[in-house]
Amino acid sequence: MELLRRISYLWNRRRLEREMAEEMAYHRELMSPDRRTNFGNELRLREDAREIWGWTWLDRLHQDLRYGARVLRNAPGFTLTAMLILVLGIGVPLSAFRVVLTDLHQSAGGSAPDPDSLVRLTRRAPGAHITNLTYPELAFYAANAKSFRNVIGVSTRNQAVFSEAAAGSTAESIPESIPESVPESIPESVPESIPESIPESIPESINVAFATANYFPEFGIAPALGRVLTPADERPDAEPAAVIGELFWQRRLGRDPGVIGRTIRVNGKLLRVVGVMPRSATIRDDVWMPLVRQPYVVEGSTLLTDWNSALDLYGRLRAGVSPQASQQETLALAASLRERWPDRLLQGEYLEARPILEFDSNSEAFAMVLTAAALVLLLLAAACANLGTLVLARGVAREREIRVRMALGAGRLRVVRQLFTESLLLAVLSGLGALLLSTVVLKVIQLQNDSTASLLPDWRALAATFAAAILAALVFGLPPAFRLASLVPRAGRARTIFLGVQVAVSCLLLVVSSLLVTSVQRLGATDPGFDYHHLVAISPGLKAHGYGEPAARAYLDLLRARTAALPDVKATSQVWLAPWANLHMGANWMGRQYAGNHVDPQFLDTMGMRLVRGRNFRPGEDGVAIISEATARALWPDPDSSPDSSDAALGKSLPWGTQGQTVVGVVRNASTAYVGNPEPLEFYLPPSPSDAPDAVLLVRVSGSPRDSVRRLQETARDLDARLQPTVQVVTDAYDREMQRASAALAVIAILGTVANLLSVIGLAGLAGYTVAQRTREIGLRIALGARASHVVLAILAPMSRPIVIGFVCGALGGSAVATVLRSGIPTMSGLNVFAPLPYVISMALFAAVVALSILAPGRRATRINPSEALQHE
Amino acid sequence: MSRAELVPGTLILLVLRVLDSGPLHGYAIAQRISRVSGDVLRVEEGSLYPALQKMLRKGWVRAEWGLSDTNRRVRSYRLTAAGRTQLESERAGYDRVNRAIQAVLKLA
Repeated sequence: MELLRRISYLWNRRRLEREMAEEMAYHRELMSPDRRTNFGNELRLREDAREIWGWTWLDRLHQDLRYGARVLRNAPGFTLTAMLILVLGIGVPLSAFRVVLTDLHQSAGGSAPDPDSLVRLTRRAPGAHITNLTYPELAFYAANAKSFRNVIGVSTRNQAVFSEAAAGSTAESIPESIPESVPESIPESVPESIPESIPESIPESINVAFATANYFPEFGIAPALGRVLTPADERPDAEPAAVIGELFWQRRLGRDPGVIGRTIRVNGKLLRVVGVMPRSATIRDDVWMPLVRQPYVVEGSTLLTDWNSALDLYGRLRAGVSPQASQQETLALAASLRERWPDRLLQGEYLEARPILEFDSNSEAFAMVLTAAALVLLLLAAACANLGTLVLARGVAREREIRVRMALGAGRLRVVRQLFTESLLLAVLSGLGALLLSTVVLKVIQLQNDSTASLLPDWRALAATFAAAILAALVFGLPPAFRLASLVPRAGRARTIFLGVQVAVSCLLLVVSSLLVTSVQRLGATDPGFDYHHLVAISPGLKAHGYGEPAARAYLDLLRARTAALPDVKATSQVWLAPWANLHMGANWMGRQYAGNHVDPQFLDTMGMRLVRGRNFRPGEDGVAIISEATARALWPDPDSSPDSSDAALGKSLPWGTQGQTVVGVVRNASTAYVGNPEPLEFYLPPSPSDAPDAVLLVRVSGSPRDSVRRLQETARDLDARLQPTVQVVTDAYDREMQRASAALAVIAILGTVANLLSVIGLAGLAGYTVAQRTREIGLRIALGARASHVVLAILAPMSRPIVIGFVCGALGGSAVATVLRSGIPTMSGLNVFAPLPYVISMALFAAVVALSILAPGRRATRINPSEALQHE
Repeated sequence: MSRAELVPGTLILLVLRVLDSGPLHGYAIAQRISRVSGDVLRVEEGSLYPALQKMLRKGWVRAEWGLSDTNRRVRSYRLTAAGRTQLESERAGYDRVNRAIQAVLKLA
């Protein structure tokens, strides 16, 4: 109640204060003339009365803000520089933060209602972690697990072929139940009425996602048009329905709103379009279908019954059930399932339930995110340190003003508060600028990504902005304010720290970016060790179509024979993993990661790899292995008979696993798993029969590989028209990898450039401060015959120690950051953090920064007129 | 005639008591206290108005504008129910202290 009265006073204060003045005037009039003087200072009285309401701080704040605004307006040079520094210092990290936030939001379904109870389910057992589950497991847990209200299964990025059904074919009927095979009677569409429609003869490769119907509501996905898939679409007698991705709708169907109700063909099967899926930055599948309809479009698929599929599973926890409780339950359930399928489940298996918005804090990706966050926050630290020196420098000019204010009765704390309000004002204004900057950055990224997520900052972004602004104001504003109010004796310590921090951050970013430049350069120059220019990988996708082992082997033999018969094909090889694909198999031994593959005897020839010791595989051989030279060196370092540990390796057994394959050959280093690893720790095993349904056919061609893609695809399809083989040119993977490395480099380079720009501004400010402070001394020196170089050295002298210390710290920090980057980005694995060149380059660059920053103050100093300077007070 | 300053802390009690007999404006409050006390107690304007503001804030009195005999706008203060309660409790408190002081003065 009292608070309400106080607020109402604040609301009506103008009127109430006027009334009080009137009241007091009346009081005075009524007093006898001789006593009137006793009334005292009416103004003072009114102020005393006003203070009762406890709003005086607001008045002071208002005063301080007005004063601060005036000060900032009267020093436009300082204000603009400071704002530039802060907008960059807050804006760049903020942009990164918002990009990550948006990404997280979209990829993990941040728009999902109540994301805390939505968990990702993965298989865990002692010593094992398997991220995907099969359909029978999905069905089992969905039916039996009481912890989950819903179990959601998704399979994205399945290759399929799209073609348009007849234009305006809304009337075309789709069989009510799924037929065993497509009846011949469905008429091929004849585009006659709409001339611009794409002829059906050009099928297009698309990505199809299959999901259980509960995926859509649980992830909060609202259709952009029409409706999403519902449980009714999962019924066996329902008409096959599909939802199309917004981008696909736009690109392929010209955003035609009449698409709802039309039919399309996926893998030749007719589907009714019921809705359009809103686009998102991460899930970009072209067509969405109910998971249970997968066998309808992928002919021969046994997805619903076999144990080979790889679904992403999510669960919606029931109210009040914790992820840990659900793990207890799935532990028991898995044990009961294992009784029926002892070879399918692991001992002690359970489903790990991790909320989708939670980071896996053990993963390398997490370390990378942390490093990136640290880097951008360093930029904020540099900006604050910078502005701190600048504010301190400006303090010299304001010392007199402050002294006058204090002489007029302002308390020290009052002065500190006023100065700090000024900094706060600056910081908050810059925060707004940073918000604007980050929105622009986001918009640019969106334009490139075709994404339409909201650009409006959400509460997290706003909170982050203002937290950063206030923190910045505390760091750069408070120490100078204390100093100016003479609460702390000397500015020296603060200045040294500010300077050291900003130098360290600038150097750190310089070192990291030059390390990355050298590594990307080397990546371009590194010989991967095999002839990647002429390689094509065919993935027939046999497993998805229900091929068993013998059928797959028969198909592959036939495919190889057909392919080899093509005029431009030089060699073929059957492998398990294509080079530079995103799939990896490997072993972790003594803290190092070894990448493996199953390859046949033609592999070395097809890849153009050279055997340096031992022999190739023999057909049908098992229990043997071929390793790279780097692997030989890592596993059997031989100090005596160096350089050849390759000889030592022959006949040894691979130390990991239970089989202990014998090394029969050593090949020249070839980085086939990751792009650009100069020390590829790789090993190759003979094909195992069970690999066949997963196998990839590697083809070396004579001409440009892109010319052969079409023909190879047709060859693969000719053998079985149901298949949707993907044919990939290996150089594409190389380009992709280079792009990723360059993107990482670009980000670091931008941070580094901004940090160094800040350094120039900050150092220039500091040098200017030194010159202003020591004008008399410098004048005296010049009068006594000091030369320009002496003068410049005199300016540099107080800066030299923090610069040197900062540089050393920055270089050490830089190599530490580079080490983390190296472990997170496979491409960087050859990065040598001890190579001297990047450090020398950084030092040279930073010397240039220092030189540039003292250019103007230095000139000013050398032109000091001694006679004027000595009169300078 | 000697005038005495108020005993600290009693101003609000006195104002509350004076207003208990009916609404008054600021000058009249001061006059009334002075007259009733036989010109012994004198209310400083410098403390009267902050005290009135505090009572407004606490909700013990309400201010209302009216017209004086000379047809001037005057603000008079009226005791509220909360004010009356406060008066009772302050009065009881004062009595207790007063009795204690008297007892000491008599016997010590």
